[in-house]
Amino acid sequence: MDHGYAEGLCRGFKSGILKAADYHNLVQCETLEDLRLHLQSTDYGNFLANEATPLTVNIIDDRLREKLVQEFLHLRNVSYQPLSTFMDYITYGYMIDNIVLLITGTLNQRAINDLLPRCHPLGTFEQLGGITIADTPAQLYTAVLVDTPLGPYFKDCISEHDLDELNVEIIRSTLYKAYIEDFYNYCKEIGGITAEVMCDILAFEADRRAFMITINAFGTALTQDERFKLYPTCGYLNPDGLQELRRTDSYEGVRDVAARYPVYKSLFDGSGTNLGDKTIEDKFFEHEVKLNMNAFLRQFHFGIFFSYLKLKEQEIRNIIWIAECISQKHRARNMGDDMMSYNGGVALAMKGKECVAIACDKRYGVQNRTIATNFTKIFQYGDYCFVSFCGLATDVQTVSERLRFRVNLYELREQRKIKPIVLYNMLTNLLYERRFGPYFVFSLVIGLDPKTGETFVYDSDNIGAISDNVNLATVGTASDYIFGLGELFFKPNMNADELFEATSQSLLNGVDRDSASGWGVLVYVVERNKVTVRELKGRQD
Amino acid sequence: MGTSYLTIGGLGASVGLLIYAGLTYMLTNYGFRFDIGWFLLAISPYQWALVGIALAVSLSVLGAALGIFATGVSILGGGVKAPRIRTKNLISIIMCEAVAIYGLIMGIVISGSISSFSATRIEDLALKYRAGYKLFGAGLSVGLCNLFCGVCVGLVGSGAALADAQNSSLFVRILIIEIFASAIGLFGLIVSILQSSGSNMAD
Repeated sequence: MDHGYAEGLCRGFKSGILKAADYHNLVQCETLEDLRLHLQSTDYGNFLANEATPLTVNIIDDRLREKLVQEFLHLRNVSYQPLSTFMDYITYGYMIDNIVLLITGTLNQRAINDLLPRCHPLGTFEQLGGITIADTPAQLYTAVLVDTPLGPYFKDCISEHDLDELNVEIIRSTLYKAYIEDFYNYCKEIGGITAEVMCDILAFEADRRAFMITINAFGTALTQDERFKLYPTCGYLNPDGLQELRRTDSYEGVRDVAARYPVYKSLFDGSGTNLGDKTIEDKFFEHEVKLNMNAFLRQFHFGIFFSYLKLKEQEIRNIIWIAECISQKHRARNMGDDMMSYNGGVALAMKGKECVAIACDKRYGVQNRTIATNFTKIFQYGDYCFVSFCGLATDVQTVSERLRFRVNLYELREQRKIKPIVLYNMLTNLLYERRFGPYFVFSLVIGLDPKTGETFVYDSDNIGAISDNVNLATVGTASDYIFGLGELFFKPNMNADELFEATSQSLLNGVDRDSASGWGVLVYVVERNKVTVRELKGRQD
Repeated sequence: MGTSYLTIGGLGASVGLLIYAGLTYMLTNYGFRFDIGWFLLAISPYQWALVGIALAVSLSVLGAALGIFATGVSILGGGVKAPRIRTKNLISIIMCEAVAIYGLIMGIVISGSISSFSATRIEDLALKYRAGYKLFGAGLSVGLCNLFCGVCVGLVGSGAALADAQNSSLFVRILIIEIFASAIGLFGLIVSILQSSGSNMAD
């Protein structure tokens, strides 16, 4: 009864939790900007107002968590004993997570300044920065943690083992077990409605931990006895259920143990491991939310503060899930949303010593659907001139045919084969004629002068921008990846074989990173006396 | 929260002292000194009446204070996120306040019946003692009734404020419960008026 203000405030916060109608609106959002707009009309208000576009899911996550931490700290500041001790107990869970995060970060040689911002703000305490100096749990305890509120929890996990990956997880589970049992006893001491509500919630949490430790330990190096030491004893499973869980070694065994307790039986029955079923973790989350909501039905107890925090965390998880789905769909729709990536495809041209090579992939697709795998994009306009077009497939055909028309007329008039530089100028003129309604193709022109051995590699964008005679040029949807590889493999003055290797390896490996290109490679190597064509088979996907 | 050694020690010491004193009196044949009748007669009727007034006012005010505390903090807490509840819920505070007013009224009524007397005969003195006891009973009954009534109205009012913050249609329904709660304070008032009506200490 003493804490009416904090309780009234907490209930006010709780009434701002998103309802089904709000989620309905959020699910309809197409972009993250829409999401921000819809969140403005809820209790969240303008919390994202100062963020620069583009919004990312990480920024939204950080802001949501910041808001929750602000609200919790405000409640903590207006509370006094014994509510303040209760709320401190809630933060110990986050302290444990922070300690484990720092220890694993130190094991992976991360700097302390990188790790500290990633700690959960509710779980900070003064000695947090000093965690990284310890090597063994004993050192950790005596040097750093003995004065913190987590000191008593370390009694069980001080051992001679050094801190390494597996042991850190065991330390986390041992600490959490000690914490939850301590919290449970504290709530029992408070008595009254708080004890009724909180002990129910904490018992479920303890049992859920026991089940998840058992299920996740199948197939790992954790023995049954070690597992047993990690089970918290303050749940409904204690003591018979825990003994049974210790002896099981399959998911079916866990199901059988759960079958003895009506609540857990219904949870396990509603879940399954097939696709489309709810997993057991989902069912546990649902049950936890139900218990937390029931805590609000009673007045004058501390359970509502714990439940409010957990419900808000679940809401943040929901919003982030929706935001991830939005951003994934958005990214996926980007493929083929614009004309240049609608059909996909890529080409590369590289220079060597008195030889040039040009290569392209063979995919023809419509957005993410592959239609044909023999659509090559290289066209020959003369004995030693080759052009490759990448972009919208219809324009590839159109431009190559129109260029062929002009080259044929040239050859008829001039009575000789066209030179590479002239071909390039002809192509860029053709493209610039359509400056304000352009063709959607990027082009590569290569050529060789058989008398002098001079090599030419040019590229152009879709309105005919002229480039210099370069060593390496790429066009297409995977051009960035292939350019990087090409730069890696390129050496000046390569001979024909080395040139072929460099070109084909760049292309074959670069298209693996792009879903719109692939299905094999066609390589033309042009030398002074011959042109070699090779078709390569790569990953067929 | 938990029993500490100090409390146990104190409690044990006082119980031990009482038992020691009691046994000493009994075993040394001075048991007659423990005389309840003498005790009651030795306290003058003025003392009884005035302690009655004190109980009437102080216990009523205590009940009202606890009630206003319970309701007030809930209105403040709920009013942060739902400002519309602030004015409407002041009714609950007024109903708690009424409880304190009952105590005040009874205090005035009882004190009106107190006046000096100079009776010496035993029959008259008996009447004065009767008046004193009646006034004490009146004060005690109104005080205790209002104490529990005030706390009750306060707790219900707190619930009303929080429910109103969630859903405004609930306020009027919970107000009906509060009305029933404040009726019990009225019962205490009525009984205490009946008790103090016939008692007059004047000669």
